[in-house]
Amino acid sequence: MKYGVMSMDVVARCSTTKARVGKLSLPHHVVDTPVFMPVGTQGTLKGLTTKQLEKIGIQIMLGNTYHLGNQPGEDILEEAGGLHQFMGWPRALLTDSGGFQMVSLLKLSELSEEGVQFEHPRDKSIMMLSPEKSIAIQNAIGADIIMQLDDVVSSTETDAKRFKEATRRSVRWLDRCISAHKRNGDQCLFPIIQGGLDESLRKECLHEMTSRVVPGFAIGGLSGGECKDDFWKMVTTSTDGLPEDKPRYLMGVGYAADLIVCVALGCDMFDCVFPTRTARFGCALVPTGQISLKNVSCSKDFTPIQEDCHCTTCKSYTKAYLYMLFRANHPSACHMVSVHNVMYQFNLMRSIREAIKNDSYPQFIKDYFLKLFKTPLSYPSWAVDSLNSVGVRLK
Amino acid sequence: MKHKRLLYFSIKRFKSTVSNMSTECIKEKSQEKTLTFTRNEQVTHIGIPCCIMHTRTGCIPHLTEETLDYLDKKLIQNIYQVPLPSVIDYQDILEAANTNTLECLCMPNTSVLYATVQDFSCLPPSGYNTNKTVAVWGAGGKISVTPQSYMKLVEVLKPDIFQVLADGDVLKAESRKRIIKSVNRSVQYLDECIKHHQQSKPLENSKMICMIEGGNNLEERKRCMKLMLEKLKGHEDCVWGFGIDALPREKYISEGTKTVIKLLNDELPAGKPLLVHGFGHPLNIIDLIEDGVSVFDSTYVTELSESNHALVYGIPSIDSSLSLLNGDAKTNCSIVDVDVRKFVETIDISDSCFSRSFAPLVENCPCYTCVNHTRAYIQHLTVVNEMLAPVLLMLHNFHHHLTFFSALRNELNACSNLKSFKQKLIALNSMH
Ligand SMILES: [Zn+2]
Ligand SMILES: [Zn+2]
Repeated sequence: MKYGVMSMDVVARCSTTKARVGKLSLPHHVVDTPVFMPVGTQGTLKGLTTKQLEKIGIQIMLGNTYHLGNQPGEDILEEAGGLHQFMGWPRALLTDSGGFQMVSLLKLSELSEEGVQFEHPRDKSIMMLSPEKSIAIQNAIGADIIMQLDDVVSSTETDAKRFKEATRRSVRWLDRCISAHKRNGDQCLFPIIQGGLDESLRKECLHEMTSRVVPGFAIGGLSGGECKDDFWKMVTTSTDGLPEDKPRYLMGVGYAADLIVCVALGCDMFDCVFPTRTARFGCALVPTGQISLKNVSCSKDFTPIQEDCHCTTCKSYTKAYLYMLFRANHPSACHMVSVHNVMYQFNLMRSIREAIKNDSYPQFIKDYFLKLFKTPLSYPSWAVDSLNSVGVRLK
Repeated sequence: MKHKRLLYFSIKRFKSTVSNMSTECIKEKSQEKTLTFTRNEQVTHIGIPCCIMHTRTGCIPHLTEETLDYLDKKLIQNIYQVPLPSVIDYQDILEAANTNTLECLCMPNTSVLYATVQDFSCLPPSGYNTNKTVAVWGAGGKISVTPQSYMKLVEVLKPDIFQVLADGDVLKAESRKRIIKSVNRSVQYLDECIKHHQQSKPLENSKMICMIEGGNNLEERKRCMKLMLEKLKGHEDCVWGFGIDALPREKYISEGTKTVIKLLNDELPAGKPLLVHGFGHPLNIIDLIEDGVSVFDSTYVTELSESNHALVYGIPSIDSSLSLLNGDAKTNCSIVDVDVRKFVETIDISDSCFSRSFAPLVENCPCYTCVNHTRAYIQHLTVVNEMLAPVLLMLHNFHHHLTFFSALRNELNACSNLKSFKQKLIALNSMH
C-alpha cells in the first residue's frame, strides 16, 4: 500500500514470532528492515565521512531537530536545500521532533497546550516549540521521515494523571502536526504512540492514532530507564495494535539483546546513540558483548577487535594499537572504533533479516543469546519471558 | 652553492658496510632530485623538496588508513615522522610485538620511518631540560630522557633515520647564557649518542640526523656546528643529514633566520640533506629551499587543521601560461617585500561569514572535502565542535600542501630555480 512517497513491503515473516522483513521505499533510499539507524545529531556521525557510512551500507540515519534548529538553524538549512544537501548525504534521513531534548536538556522549559516554552541556550530569548514550529523546522531540514511533537513525560514521573494528560495532548498535537505539515509529497510524518506503562492508556492512544491517515508509527515513552518487564509488555501491546502494512519505529533502543527481542515483538526500526557514544570511550562491540580498548589487557593483544569482521578498522588495526591511541586521546581512535561499531550494528541487523527470511529466527536468537550471555543461567528474565510470549523458549 | 643539497642523495640500508659513495652527493651526474632508501632490497625514492608526513603514534592526526586513502597516492611521500612523546609510554608494547615498528603501529610496511625527539605540532612546556636529561611529555606526563635511555628507545623503534637527542628548548627569546647551555648540552648528548650508535647492532641500518642548536645567535650556531662536526669526524657515514632546531616561529622568516640557514648550508658537508620542522607557509618554504633546505614536515597541516584553518592560496603550475606578470618592473625581486602582507594563504573557516557560503573551500579543488562539502557545512561543524571538522580540513589541507610540494619539484626539475615560480605565486595570491 502506498502513502504519498513511502511504501512498505513486508517481504518475509517469521512463522513463530512477530518478526518481519520489509522494504521501506523512501524518497532518498530503499531501506531494508529491521534496521538500526545510527544517530548523527548535528548533521554528522562521530567524525565518520558520509563516504564511510555509505561503504558500511548505512541506508538511513538520524538528525536531531532541536540541535539542527539551533545550529545551523532553519533558514541556513533551507538555503542549503535541506539537510541532505547541507551534509552531503544522499541516502535517507529521519528527524525527531525536538520535544525529547526540550525536556531532557533544558531545565527552564515550561509546558502548555500551546507547546513547550524555553529559553534559547545562546541568546537567552524566550522561544516556543509548538507542534507547528517543530514541523516547520523539520520541513526545512527535509528528512524522509519526520516525527510529531509529543508531550514527553519524564521517566521519573509517577503521577498517573500526568501520563493521561500527556497521552491525550499528544493526540491533539498529532492533529496539529498533520495540518501544519507542508511537504506531504516528500516527507512522511509519524505519530508517536504514548501511554507510559499503562496498558489501557496505550491502547487508547493506539486507537486514536491509528485512526489518522499516517504512513508509519513510532513507539515512544519507553527506554527511559523503566523496568524491563514493563518495557517489553508495552512494546508488544503497541505492535499488536498497529497495522501490519506500516513500519513501526521503536525509539531509543540499540543494545543487541533488546534489538533481537524487539524485532521478535514486531518492531522494524530502531535508533540509539549507544554504539557511537560508547566507541568514543574506547568500547568496541563484539558478539560476546563489549571490549574496552582502554583496558590494559588489550595492550599486548596484536589481533583485531573481531577476527571475522570486515570493517576497515579490523582489516588494518590491532587492539594493542587502539590501546595506544586511546591512551593518548587520539581522535582517530574514536573514528576507528566508530567504524567498527556502526558496522557491527549493521551486520547484526543484516543477519537478523537473513534469519527471518530463512525462517530460522528462533534458532538465531538462541545462538546469539548463548554467545552473548555464555550460559542460559545469565539470561535476563524479561528476555526469557518476552521471547516466550512469541513462542521462543530460551530455556 | 645554493642548491648543492638538492642534487642527489642515496641512502642504502641493510648493508653491513655502509659505503661512502651511497651518501655522497653526485653533483653533475643526475638531474633527478631524490632521496633513496633501500630496505630488504625494496627501494623507495622520495623526491625533494620533500614533505615528511607528521604522525602521532604512527597515525596521521584525525585520519585513519581509510580516510588517508582519499588522498591522491601520487602526492603522498612515503616517509613518516614518529615523535618520541607519542610512543615513549609504549616501549614494552613495541618490544612485546616481536615485529618491526611499522607493523606494530599498523603503518604500511613500505614506509620510511623517522623518529623525532619532540612533536613539533605541540611543543612541550619550557624549562624542564637539565644537563643530563631532556623532558619528553608522554600520555602519562613528564619523562626525563638521558642520551642512553633515548638510544635504547630508538633501538626499539629501529627507524630508518632518527634525530640525535638535543636541547632545543630555547624558542622563547632566551638569553645568550641559556643558548650557550643548550649548545653545550646538545654537543655532549651527540657525543654519547654516537658512542651508543657505534656499538648498536639494532641500529646498524639506522642513520642519525644531527640537530644544530644555537637559537638566533649566529656565533652559537657556528660554534655548535663546529663542535658537532668535530665529534662526527670518522662517523660521517652514520649521519643522514642535519636538522636546524629551535628556529623561531615567525609568520615570515626573518633575515636573521635566513642568515643562520645560509651559514649552515655553506659550511655543512655536502651530500647531507638539510632539514627543518614546522614550516609550511608557501613563501617560507620557497625561501628555505633557496637557502638550501630540502626536507620539511607536515606539522603545518596538522596545526592549521586543528585551529580551523583551510589553505586557499592559488598554486602556479608550470604548464599554465600565467600572464599575471605584466611588465618587467614587477619581476624584480622587491615584489616580496611589497606584497607579502597582502598574501592570503588561509581562511579561518569557523568565521560566521562562511555560514551561508555553499561553495567548496577551494573552487575546482579535487580533494574529497571540496568535492563533497561546502564551506557552510564545515563552518557548522567547527561551531558545534564536531570531530568531522578537523578530518575534512586535514584532507583538504594535506591535498593542498602536498600539491604545492609537487609543484615545487616540477618547477625545480624544469628550471632548477624558483624565481619565476615565486613571482607567479605572489601575483596569484596578492591581487585583492
Ligand atoms: Zn570491525
Ligand atoms: Zn580541497
